[in-house]
Amino acid sequence: MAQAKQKITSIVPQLWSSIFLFIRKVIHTLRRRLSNGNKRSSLVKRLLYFQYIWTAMIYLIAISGIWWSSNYLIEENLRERGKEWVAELDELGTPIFISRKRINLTRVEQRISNSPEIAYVRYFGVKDRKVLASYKNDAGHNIDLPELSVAEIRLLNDTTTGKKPYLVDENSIDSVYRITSPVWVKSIQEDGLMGFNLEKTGQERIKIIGYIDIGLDRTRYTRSLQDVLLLGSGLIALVILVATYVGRRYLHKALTPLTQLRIPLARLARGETDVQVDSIGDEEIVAIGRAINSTVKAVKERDEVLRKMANHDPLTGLVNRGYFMREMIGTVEEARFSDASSALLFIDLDQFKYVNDTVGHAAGDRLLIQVAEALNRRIREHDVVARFGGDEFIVLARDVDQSDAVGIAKGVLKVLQDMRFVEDGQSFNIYCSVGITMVDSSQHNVDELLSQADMACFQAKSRGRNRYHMFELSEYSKKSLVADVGWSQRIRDAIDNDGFVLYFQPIVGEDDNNTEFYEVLLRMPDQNGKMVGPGAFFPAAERFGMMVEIDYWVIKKALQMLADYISHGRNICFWINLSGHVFEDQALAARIVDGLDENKLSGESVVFEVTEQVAVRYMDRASSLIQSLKNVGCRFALDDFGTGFSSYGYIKNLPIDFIKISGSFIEDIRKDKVDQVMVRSIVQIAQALGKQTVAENIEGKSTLKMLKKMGIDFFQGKYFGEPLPELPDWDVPRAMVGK
Amino acid sequence: MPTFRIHFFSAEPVRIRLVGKPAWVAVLAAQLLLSGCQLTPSIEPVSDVSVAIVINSKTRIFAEVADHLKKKLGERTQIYYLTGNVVRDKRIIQQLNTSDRKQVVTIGLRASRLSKQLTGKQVVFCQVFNYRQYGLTAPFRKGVSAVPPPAQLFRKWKQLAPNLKTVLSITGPTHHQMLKEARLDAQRYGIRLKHLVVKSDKEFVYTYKQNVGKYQGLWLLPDNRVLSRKAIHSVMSFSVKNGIQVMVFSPQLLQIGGLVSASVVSDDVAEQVYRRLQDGFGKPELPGPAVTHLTRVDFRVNDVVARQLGLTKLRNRK
Repeated sequence: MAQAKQKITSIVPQLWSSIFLFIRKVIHTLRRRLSNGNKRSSLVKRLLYFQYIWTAMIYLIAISGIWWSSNYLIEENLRERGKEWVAELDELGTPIFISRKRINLTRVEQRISNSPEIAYVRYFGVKDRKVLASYKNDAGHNIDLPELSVAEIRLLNDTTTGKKPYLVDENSIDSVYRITSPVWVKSIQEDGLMGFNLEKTGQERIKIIGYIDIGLDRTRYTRSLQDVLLLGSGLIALVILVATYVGRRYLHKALTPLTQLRIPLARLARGETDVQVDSIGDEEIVAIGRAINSTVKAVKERDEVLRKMANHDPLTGLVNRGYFMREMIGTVEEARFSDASSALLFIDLDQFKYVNDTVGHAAGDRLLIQVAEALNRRIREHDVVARFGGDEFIVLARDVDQSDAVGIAKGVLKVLQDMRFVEDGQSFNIYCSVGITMVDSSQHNVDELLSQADMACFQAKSRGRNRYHMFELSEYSKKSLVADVGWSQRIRDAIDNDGFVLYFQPIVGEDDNNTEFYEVLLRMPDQNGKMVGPGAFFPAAERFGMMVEIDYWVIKKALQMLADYISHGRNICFWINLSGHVFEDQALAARIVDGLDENKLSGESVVFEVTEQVAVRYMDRASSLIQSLKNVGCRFALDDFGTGFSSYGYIKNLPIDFIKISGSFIEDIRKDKVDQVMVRSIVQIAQALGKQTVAENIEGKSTLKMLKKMGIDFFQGKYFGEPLPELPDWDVPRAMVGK
Repeated sequence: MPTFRIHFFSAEPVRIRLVGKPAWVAVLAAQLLLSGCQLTPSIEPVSDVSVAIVINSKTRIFAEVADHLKKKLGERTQIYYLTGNVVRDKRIIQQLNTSDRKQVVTIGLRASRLSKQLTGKQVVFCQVFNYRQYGLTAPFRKGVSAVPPPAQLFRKWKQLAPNLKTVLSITGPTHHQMLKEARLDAQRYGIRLKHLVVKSDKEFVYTYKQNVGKYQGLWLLPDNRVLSRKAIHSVMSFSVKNGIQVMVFSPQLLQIGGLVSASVVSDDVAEQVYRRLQDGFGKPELPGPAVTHLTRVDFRVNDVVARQLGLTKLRNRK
């Protein structure tokens, strides 16, 4: 048995190793087949292959199990059968040990002749281990039977345990399972039967009278094993084949809804959102289908929202500038290859600022919404109306001639004239100016068309507002138009390639705390290389939407230069102008703070100038922006104060530090009594509010003397020096102010 | 019925006749109540010379015989217990040889075999089946049979199984005489007893299985030379399977298929030993046969087997 176990123990790892190598090879082959070059493998195929591998493994395990257990059972059976045979033949062979006559073996022969599994039987005597009797069947005739060795006899003679020993030999004779045992006679010890007790297991005397050696024909059992294995593996293979076929069908059926998802998913991947997935099949697949449908629905909704956000003005709901520009490009392209013409109407509200100033920005926003609705009602279905910025609207009227365009413009004027805007119990008449230009095959440039409509609108305003004006090319020289477009290209080039130049003009005060103040002024070379001021290119920059970029360029460049000057030991503060456009950018404050950090500057080195009109127009934004930048030390000046006709109340609410009185009040102050009163009152109010005043456009000593008398804190003008591209010697202006 | 005399500190004991089992209980109770009273058998003391009893301490039946014997012999009796240790047991024999005790009772084969080393003593052995095998009998060494009286056995067996006609008995050698007498007893009850001699348990089983087909019953005698536990189980099992009635020597064997058990009564053994001692007292040799028969038998029936064999159920009785 021990040998059998050893044999099995040595075979099993080899078997498992072979199985493992086989499975590895199968997996490798399948993986190669599944990868199939660059093609993606199919989940269904993968699952099916997995099923085949699993099935094969189960089959191998089942066969191994059958083989191992059958083999084990056979070994066990042989051992038990061997013992039974030994016991039976031991008893049947009793006459051999009594009389030792050959005839007495008849019963043994009769018994085993009917049992072909017995290959041979031998009876040995104790003395000289002489064979007393033997029997061999056909299988046993060819066997060369070994004699009992001394070692075997020693083992067989052991009676100390009280249990009869059995020697099992599986290997010495091919296909024969040999089992040897001693023949015992026992007797109960003397006095053992007097007062006999079944329960007591008293010692008995044991005497060995011989040995019995039998051989079982193993081939009969192994043949059975082979038959069982063959039959078992066949049956298992059949069952597994049927199960695999059924499983394959079932898997196909179960995964079909999953396979069918590929088409809608591919469409979804292409961006199509009109996809609907059938929620059929198993629970998980239905859940996937529902999830896809929900996702598609959510994507659709989000697309809609994004599209709307991308193409519409959030206040009025009209399409925005970007969308309008795309529509314009399409219309211009169509116009190039057709006789049809369209019209572009530029609409600017005449009294919007007045409404804003009177009843506030929220009311202004409501007015814009009302105007947008009115325009939307007025235009035709295939026309496009957009909010172009602030109080400007633009309409693209398609397939119209000049007279139709004029009719639309009149309609717009009429609609707004009829509209009454009531706020806080006040009623406002809303008027607008409309500039018209025609879009036909001769016009190819969208920017040019916009510029034409803008200029026409400007003409309408110039001619008294509440009217329309049709753009006529004859009114403008082609040269100026080209120049306008040329400016936009130069501005773009200057932004991209640092083409602007910064000039500096000193701002001096009696109490300057030893700080040099300079206003940073922007200059740009024209096509002839001559430096021109902002008045030359700002209109074009505004028209082409480049003001914010210019503002950021100025801030960036000024901070770099300031840091450079400060690093050379000068105590300098720059006054930087901000346009109204940059206030619309939410990132302004953060970008300024970043700029200060990058250049390692303190906020106190910078004063930002904001015009009165911008501050009032973006009051809420301006207040929060000023406050957030004051938190890092920056200071603010209200520029051109007095020209915007704003109430003093604004100054009270704005957290500014300086008030720069408009130069128009200074230029003639020596002669104009009204200017003197105005300046004096501004100074008094500023002083009452704890703000300092700056007077600009000072051209002479007498003016300076008067302003000083009035209590002005800082002074700026040609008297102290013209703007220069480099910082001037600070001692000169400082001396001039009398310090 | 046994008769006892109870001494109430008087010269003449009072005779009380007791009937059945409750009578025994009454006697024991009276003995406990009358502590100080001496309970002695009605037999007269053998002599003034004391008797030594040698027994194998492990066996209960031997102890019972010794106890009964001691009661009969009185305070003059000395019991020696063999230990199984050869040296110590030999010392006991030497001690006996040097003592003035003239009569020795040996209970069991081991004690009886050792008694062969005694000189100048009368030895009465009992509970020895194979006494001839070991040459125990001599003019000064005689014994009491280890087998209940065969006549009683066959009578009771016949009563239980009236159709019983053939019985087989298998023993080792040297029992020819005893079986010859038993054969005569059996014939009186119409039973033919066949005796076969074997040399080992293996041969016993083989012989039994080969021959039992010709017989209705087996008389299993306590011959330890040819019986092993396996052989007993094998024989009993074979008998049950083949419907053979087996008369066994111990009630224990009823549990494994014996029909009836016929075992000795310890008091009867003690009585017969006592008589032999009494007969031999003061004489150089022990008179009478080599072995005297017992007079009583403890006969028990296995009701289950009896019912299976279709035999009349009998009440267990001695």
